[in-house]
Amino acid sequence: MYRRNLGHRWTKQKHPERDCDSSLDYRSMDPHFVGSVGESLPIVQTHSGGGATIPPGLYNPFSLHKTYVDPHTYEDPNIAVKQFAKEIDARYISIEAIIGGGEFGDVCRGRLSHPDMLVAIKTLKPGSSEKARYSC
Amino acid sequence: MGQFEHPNVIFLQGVVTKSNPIMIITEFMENGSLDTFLRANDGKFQVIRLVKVDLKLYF
Repeated sequence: MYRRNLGHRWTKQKHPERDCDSSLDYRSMDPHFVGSVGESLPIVQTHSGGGATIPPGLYNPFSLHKTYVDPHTYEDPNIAVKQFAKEIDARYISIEAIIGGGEFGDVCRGRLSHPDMLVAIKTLKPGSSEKARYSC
Repeated sequence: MGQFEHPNVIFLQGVVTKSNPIMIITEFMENGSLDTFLRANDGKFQVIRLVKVDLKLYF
């Protein structure tokens, strides 16, 4: 349907002398129409990992910003984690110092070996996820 | 957090969920937490400056 509209506009532009029904022409400039021009643009993903695309209904072709998806809308939080965070192999991480701590675990300074960089590591104490679950 | 890629938002490198302990790996902030910084410098910043910091985080 959009494609037909697109062709329609081009026809109009090629023959401006025939362009008398201006109301139709204005209608063709509504946001839906402009959005269809964006069909040729590559779909922007919210994140690089996971390989999931945004449901088409949520994609806003006008926005250059990525669409934020509230992770709480996921029934299973593990799926949200998989979707928005990259899984790192524990062998690539070396902990250098403990720099802080919280109720659920320590915060450490460490190094990621692949790629090599300084990172902050939040650890979860074994058993604290169960504790948090029961306290809710 | 994994959905943001902005100089003013701490970058999430990844997570470790397949082995214990479970870990969250983020960009390292060498000047510590913003919370500690603001408490240590209490009264040194005007409210308008703090609002600017806040706005930078939002946009």
